[in-house]
Amino acid sequence: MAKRNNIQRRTTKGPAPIDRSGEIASKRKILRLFTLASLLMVGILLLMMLTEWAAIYNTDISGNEVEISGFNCASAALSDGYKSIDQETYGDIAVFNYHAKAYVERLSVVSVIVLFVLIVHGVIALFGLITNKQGVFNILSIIFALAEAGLFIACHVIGVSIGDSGILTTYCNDNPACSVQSQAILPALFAILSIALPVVALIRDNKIEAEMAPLPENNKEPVQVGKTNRK
Amino acid sequence: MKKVLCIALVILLLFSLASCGGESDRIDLTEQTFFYGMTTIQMYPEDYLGKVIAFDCFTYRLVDVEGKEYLCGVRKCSAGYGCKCGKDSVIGFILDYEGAIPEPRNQSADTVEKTWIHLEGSLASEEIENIRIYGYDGDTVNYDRVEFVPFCRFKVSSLKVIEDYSNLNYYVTA
Repeated sequence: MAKRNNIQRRTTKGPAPIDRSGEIASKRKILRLFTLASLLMVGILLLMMLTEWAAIYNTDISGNEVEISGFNCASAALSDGYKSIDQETYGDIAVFNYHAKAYVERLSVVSVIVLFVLIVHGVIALFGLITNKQGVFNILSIIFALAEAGLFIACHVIGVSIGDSGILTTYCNDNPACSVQSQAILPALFAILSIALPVVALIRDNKIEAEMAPLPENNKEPVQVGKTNRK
Repeated sequence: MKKVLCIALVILLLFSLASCGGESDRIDLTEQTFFYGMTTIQMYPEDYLGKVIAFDCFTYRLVDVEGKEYLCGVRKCSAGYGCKCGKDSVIGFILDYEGAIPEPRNQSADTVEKTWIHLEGSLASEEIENIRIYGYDGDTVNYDRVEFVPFCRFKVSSLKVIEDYSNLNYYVTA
């Protein structure tokens, strides 16, 4: 009964409407925090592109012989730096490109796509934060996070498959424990986890919308989702 | 206004990404970049033809199966492209110089007491020379096994002997 009384009624007849605008505004503010968290997640995913997307790990030296990050790959694809000696920008991509050209080019193209998707996702989250329009931005956020997870998984698969190119024979001195590893699976998992934020925000937003919904003209109590007025 | 700012930010980011890493016409190989730089140049000599390359190295004499001698500027290394050189693993260039190149000293010994030189110049050509040498079994020459050693030729424009080589590593890694 108490819950029923709390519902704002915008009809001309019946009890006087209760002003709940403050409460609604406060709930909307909480939703804005979800959007802010989504934006931070995108930032973290961008930072995770600095992790090793392909690395030759040699147990003989207990470390990597050569390695490339997502940013190295994206930079190489954007500025054709596959043969550069500039390790700060491109990592060890020149040697990967020499031994596994097809794999590296594929990885770089996917890296550029994932970078663009992340940037667009970030912009969408930013607009969502500014306008606080939850519905459409949350749905877009879910779609983008799913796309990012798929692309990161693709990067992981391509990164690991570089081992099939024959590069290990050059760098591993016949050490069977030597392998090509990829950390691109980490941002993939993180992207999947980040889907929870827009999903929760979407559910909460729907609840707020339902609470704000006007009563019909015949002054019957509002119907909630999944319930009927039958007694 | 906010929309314009956001779009400008994205465009700026994309431009900065696209413009970064442009290769200059001069390459200075340092202690940190020697191995990777040398490896990359030998992998893609056609991309580094005409660029001025400067680096420190020690002199090394390589003798092929026919007795022909090649004076090289190298450093020792453990793995990577074109390093295996008989009983040594070295990476560097065959030197073309009109002046006198100092004689190698302790070239195969594990010591920094070698003949160190600072070189400036450029690749003589994009061709890689495969020098035929006898293989080694430990410290002994195996005359029954012939190996191919790929080397680029380097046209030296300036050569300086390095007196103080205490901060130089004769052995380099990636």
